[in-house]
Amino acid sequence: MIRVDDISKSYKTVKALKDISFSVDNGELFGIIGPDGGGKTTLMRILVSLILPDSGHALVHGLDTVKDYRKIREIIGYMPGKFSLYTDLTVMENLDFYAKVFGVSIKQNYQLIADVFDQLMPFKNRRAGHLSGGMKQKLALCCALIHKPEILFLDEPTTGVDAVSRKEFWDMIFKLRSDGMTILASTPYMDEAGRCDRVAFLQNGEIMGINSPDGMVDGFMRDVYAVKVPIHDVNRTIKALKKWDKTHLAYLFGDSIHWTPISNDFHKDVLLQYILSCGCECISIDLVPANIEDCYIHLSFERDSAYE
Amino acid sequence: MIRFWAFVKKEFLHILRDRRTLMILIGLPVALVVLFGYIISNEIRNVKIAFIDYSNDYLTAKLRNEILSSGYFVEDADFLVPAMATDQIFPQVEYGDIDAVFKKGNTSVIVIFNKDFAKNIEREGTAAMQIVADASDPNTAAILVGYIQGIVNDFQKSLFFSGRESMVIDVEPRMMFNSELKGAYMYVPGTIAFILMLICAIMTSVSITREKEFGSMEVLLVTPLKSSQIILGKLVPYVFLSIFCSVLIFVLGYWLFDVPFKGPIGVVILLTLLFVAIALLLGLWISNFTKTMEVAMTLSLVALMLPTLLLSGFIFPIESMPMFLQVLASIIPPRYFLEAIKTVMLKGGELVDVAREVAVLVFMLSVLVVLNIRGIKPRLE
Amino acid sequence: MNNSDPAIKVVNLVKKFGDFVANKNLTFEVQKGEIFGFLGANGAGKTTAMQILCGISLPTSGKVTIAGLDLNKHREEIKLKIGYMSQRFSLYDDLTVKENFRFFGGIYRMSKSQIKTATEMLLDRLDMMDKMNDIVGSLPMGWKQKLAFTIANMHEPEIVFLDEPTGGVDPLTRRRFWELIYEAAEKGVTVFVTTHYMDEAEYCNRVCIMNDGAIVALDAPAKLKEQYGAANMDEVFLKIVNRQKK
Repeated sequence: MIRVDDISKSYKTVKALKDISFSVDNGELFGIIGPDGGGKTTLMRILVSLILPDSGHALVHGLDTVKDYRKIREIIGYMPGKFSLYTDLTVMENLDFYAKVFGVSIKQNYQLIADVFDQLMPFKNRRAGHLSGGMKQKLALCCALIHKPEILFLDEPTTGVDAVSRKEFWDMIFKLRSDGMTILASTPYMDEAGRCDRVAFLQNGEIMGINSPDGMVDGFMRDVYAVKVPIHDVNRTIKALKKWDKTHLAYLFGDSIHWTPISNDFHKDVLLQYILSCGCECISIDLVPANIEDCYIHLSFERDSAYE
Repeated sequence: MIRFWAFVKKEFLHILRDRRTLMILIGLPVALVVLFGYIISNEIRNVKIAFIDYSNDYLTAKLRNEILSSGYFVEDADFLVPAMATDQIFPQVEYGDIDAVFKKGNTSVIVIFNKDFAKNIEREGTAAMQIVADASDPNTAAILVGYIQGIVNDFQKSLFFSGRESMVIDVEPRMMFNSELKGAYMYVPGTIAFILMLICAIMTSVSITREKEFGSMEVLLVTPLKSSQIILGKLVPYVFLSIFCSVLIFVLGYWLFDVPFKGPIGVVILLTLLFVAIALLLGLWISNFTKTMEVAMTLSLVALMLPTLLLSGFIFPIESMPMFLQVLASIIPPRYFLEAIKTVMLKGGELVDVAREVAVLVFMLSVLVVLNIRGIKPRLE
Repeated sequence: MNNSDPAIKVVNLVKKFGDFVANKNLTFEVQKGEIFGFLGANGAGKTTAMQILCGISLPTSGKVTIAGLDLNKHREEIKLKIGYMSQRFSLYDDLTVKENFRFFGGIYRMSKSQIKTATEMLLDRLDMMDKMNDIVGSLPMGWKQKLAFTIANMHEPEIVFLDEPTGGVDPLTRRRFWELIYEAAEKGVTVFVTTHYMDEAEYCNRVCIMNDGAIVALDAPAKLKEQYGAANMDEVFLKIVNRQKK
């Protein structure tokens, strides 16, 4: 398990992490979700013992990330955000290198990496630099798993990877979790939150909320109305809704506009009337269940307002 | 240990995969040695020579002829003795003019025969002559003096006079402007210093910063590899590469261009290894505080390569530098390496003769070791 | 240029790198004031096509007309009529807001007084007048993006090209950014945008999906969803790409 207590970290004038605390249970797939510059990479690096926190401390399987860094490095697997294998070495040479460095053979933990490994084998003599983006990520995952780590740290494993490869990658992560591995993964993509057991929203170095994806949604107290309008009216409708005194938030959401009222004591006809009175067309208005992204948007909006 | 050797193997693969850099690392020393060697051997054809003949007898005339017919020398037309009505030939150059003759720039060597050359040989079996060379270009000067001495030696053996077992022509070579002959054949140790700096310092710092820049250092640090293993693993292949290149340079210089190799080979090896260690640690030290290959490369070029070329005595004699540069030159390692190698290789010195240089190099090495041990960090910051 | 003429017209565009065909016979039009989404997996040929449209790279064959001008003949004129912004690079982080305006205004041959009035007007509209002398790198992500988009539009281009403008940005900021895009489109600016976020594809008037260098779908998001029987664009995309794989 992972335990993080009051971790802070600053770079010159920028506060990358502000008193972060949370814990991850054994066998859990824990997601850290937030935008670039939110502090995800800093947090990951502190946990894998690559950098020191300014204050606070973190335990990985009961080992202190500062004092016991050497022991931690024996039991974790880490895949950094940037592709960091050797592009001038072949797929097989990369795998071989990491296996030897961890003092294992590829056969030893073959079971764990079998799926990915078999996908990679057709390219085993190709230089890693000549692989496609999705394949590179698979190779990196393979190298991070080769010593059968107890905890796997994945820093933005799907950034810059297309939708299809992203889905495949999360399928693999999910399978590892089912086999009992503890996994901490970070991502800027909201739609990946649903694959995690629990997620933490990390923005501006602060955790805005921690819960299971369902728990997040259940805990969301506002009603969400999905307003569909013709595309030429979208901008006008959003503007009009933002000005309205009954509006808490109005924002684009897929093919509709999501609107939340200041008070849930509200009838959707009032909304329809208002939209029509602004001279916009309206196709439909539905009360919809909140999505995890709705939660995130509200949390970050409330934070922003608190600062302003 | 398996971990460590896996790492070393990976480093070798990097080097072997990067064919272009490898070709440069091996091609450059060959090119430099051949270039320097060729320029120098080319310079000693058709060298302008002038004679001051105070004796002007049949022997000196014969010797002059020998020298001129060797193919290396041409009598400087400016100082040709004018044809006179008599057989008497008067040297146009006077002894006191030597300085002026050299300064005029065309003449490289002046040969002076003392008075009564033939008479002295016949009567006493010995005669004296001087070879004065313009050693502002020390490489050429040394070779020229060597050639003339060779010619005189042959000439001396051909002389037989009754009652004399052997004749001795006492040759006194003199180097003008650079009387100690600093820098003759310096191109061999100079090229070695240059190449070792290139391989050890630049390649090491670049290969370490490359891992930082590409992010693979992150992964390496999070493995059970120790930082010291990572660093040593980085150095090992370059030690091999630099030894290979040094041998290449020595061999080329020795076989192709007859660069003398007078001193004990053990001392040369010791000096070279000492210098390799220093250059590696310099590169390592640079990689401690640089994050990108670009910065590491620029820093190594400016802080290591330029001083090696300009301040080590390889190209410019240190004695003629302004005080400020002399001070600067006294803190750069290649200067001591060059000095020591020259003493051993070219002058036939022993270990004791280079004790001072070795001491300075060992001191520099220890300082670098301390600096680098402090720099080894198990983390990114 | 006639008002009904398309802003971008591409006919049989082919781009080859040696044996590799990056763009296979692309043909499409983008109408004036349209928000045109350009989607595709990595390596599908999006970036290559975008580079050609921006005049950075030359097509191997085919005819491209941008803002009524032939790309092969009027590359320099075209560059003055288009704006460009990408997530990877947009503004100089080490210059102040004002210096960035001055630099990019200068590139687009605006006069000093034009730059000054434009800077003040635009910053006022963004409510960022007091940030005029701040170093761009010190601004929050959301502001930087607004600024980058504003600067890309400073010389009032007819078409703006946005290359993954919202990558790695938080959901709220991403939406605020799209509101800016809508506003620009309402003023008649044509927006050509690539994105990895499939929900953003829904915000476009029409989207073009590329796979393996060819266009595999081109229509309004609603029509594509209908055609593929999908609930959202994410499903449409996965269905199309998976079908292509087989």
